[in-house]
Amino acid sequence: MPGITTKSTHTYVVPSCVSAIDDVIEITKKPLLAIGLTTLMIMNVQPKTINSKPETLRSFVEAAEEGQRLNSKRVDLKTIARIREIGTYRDGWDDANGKAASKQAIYDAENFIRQLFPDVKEPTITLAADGEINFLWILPELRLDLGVYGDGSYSYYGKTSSGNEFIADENSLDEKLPEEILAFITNKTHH
Amino acid sequence: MQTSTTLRKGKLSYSPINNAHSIVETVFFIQFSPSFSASTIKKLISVKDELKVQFPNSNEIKRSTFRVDVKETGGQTYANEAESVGIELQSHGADGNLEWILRTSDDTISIHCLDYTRWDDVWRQAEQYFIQAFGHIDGSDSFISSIGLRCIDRFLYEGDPEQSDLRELFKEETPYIVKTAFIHGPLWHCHSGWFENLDTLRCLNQLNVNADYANIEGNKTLSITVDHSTIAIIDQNSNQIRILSPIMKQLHDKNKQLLIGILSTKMAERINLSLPSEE
Repeated sequence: MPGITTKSTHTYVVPSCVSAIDDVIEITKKPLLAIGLTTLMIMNVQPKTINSKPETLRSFVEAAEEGQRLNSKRVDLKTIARIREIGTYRDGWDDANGKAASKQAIYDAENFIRQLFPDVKEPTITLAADGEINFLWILPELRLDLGVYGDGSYSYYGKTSSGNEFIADENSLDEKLPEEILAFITNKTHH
Repeated sequence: MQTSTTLRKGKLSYSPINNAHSIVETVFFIQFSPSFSASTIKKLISVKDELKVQFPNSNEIKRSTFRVDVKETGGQTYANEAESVGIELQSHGADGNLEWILRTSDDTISIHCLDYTRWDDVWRQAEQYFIQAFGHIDGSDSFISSIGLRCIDRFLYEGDPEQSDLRELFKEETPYIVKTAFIHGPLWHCHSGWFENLDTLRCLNQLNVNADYANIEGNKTLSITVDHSTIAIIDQNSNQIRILSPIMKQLHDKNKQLLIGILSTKMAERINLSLPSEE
C-alpha cells in the first residue's frame, strides 16, 4: 500500500533571534502524529516568513527592541527632552508677552548641545521672554550663562570662582567653546 | 539676555517613550536574491572578527532541520541537523541597554539602532557597518533585491487609560488610522500596507499601529506603538554600496511624512519632527 507523503517548509525564529529553524517534515503514514511531535519540538518559536506570502507581506526584518526603554536620567536624553519641551511653548507662554522659541532656535540649541555629548554636565535650560534658549551651568568653580537665538549664533557670559570672566557675543555655532570653559562644563579630561 | 522662566503650558498627556524622542528602534536592511551561498555565509560570519571592538558580543544564527519519519510499523526516526546561516553582533551601552545590532541571515543584512540620536549620525554609522559587511560578499552571485527601513516609535499615556483622548496623539482625520480607534476605548490595533512610487522605484509600506499595555517603572501603562516599514524594490543586478545612502534617505523622508500625517501637531513639535523641506 503506498504511504501518504506530506512535505511542508517553514522558517521560524526564536524570540531572542539567536537561531532559526527550518522544519522539513516528510511523513509516511500517520501524518497527524508526526506533525504533533514536530510541533512539540519547535515549541516557543514564532513563524517568521514563508515563501508563498502575497507580495504585500514581503518579508520585513524582525525587530530586536523587546520593549527596551532608554535610561531617562541620561544627561543627553534629559537635555534634548527639555529643549523639545520648550519647543512646544506658544507665544504668551509666560502669561505675558513671552515669545515662543523659533524652530531654528530649537535646531540650533540641539546642535549646540549635541556637540558636547556625552561628557557635558547637565545645564538648566530655560526659555527667555525674547525667544532665546538659555543654558545655565552653576558649578562650584564656574557660573556660565549661554544663549542660543536661532540665527546661527550663541553668546555667553561666564565667571569663575576666582574672578576670571569669559564673554562672547554672537559666536557662530560652528565655533567651539574655548577649552578653558569645556574643562569646567564637561567631564572630559582636557589637555 | 532677558529673564527666563520654566513655566509650562498645555502639557501633553502622551509622551515619547524616551522623553527626548519616541524612537525605540531603527532597522536598516538589505535583502538579496538569490540567497547567499554557503561560502558567502561563511565569509559574512567572519565579519565578527573585524567588528570585535564595535560589537563585543556575537551569536551565530543556526538553522535546524528536523526530520521525522513515521514507519508503517509505528516506529519513528528523528534527524536534527544544525547549520550556521548568519550571525548577530551586539553592542551595549554603559547602562546595559542594547545599542546596535548587526544581523546577517541567508538573504538579509540588517543593522539595528536601539539608541537613536539623529538621522545623519545614525545612518553614517549604519552605513559603515554595511560597508564592512559588503566587503565579505564580494564575488557572490547574490544581488540586492530590496532596501528597507523600519522605524518603531512608541508613546506612553500618563494617566488613567480609560480617560485617554487619542486626539492628543494622533490627528483624527488621518487616513492611516481607523476611525474606531478614536472611540472604542484604549486598546486597539490598526495594520495596513500599500505600495507607492519612490522616484523610479516601487516602494512597499507596512504600518502597524498598536495600543497595548507596557510595564513602565512598575506601572501598567498604555503604550502606543507606530511600527512603519518601507521597502524599496530593486530590480537591477547590482551590489554597489553607493545606492544605499540616497535610497535610505528617501525611505527616512517617507517615514517622516507618514509621522507628520498621523501625529498631532503638538506631538510632532514635541519630538521636533519636520518635513524634509523644512530642514
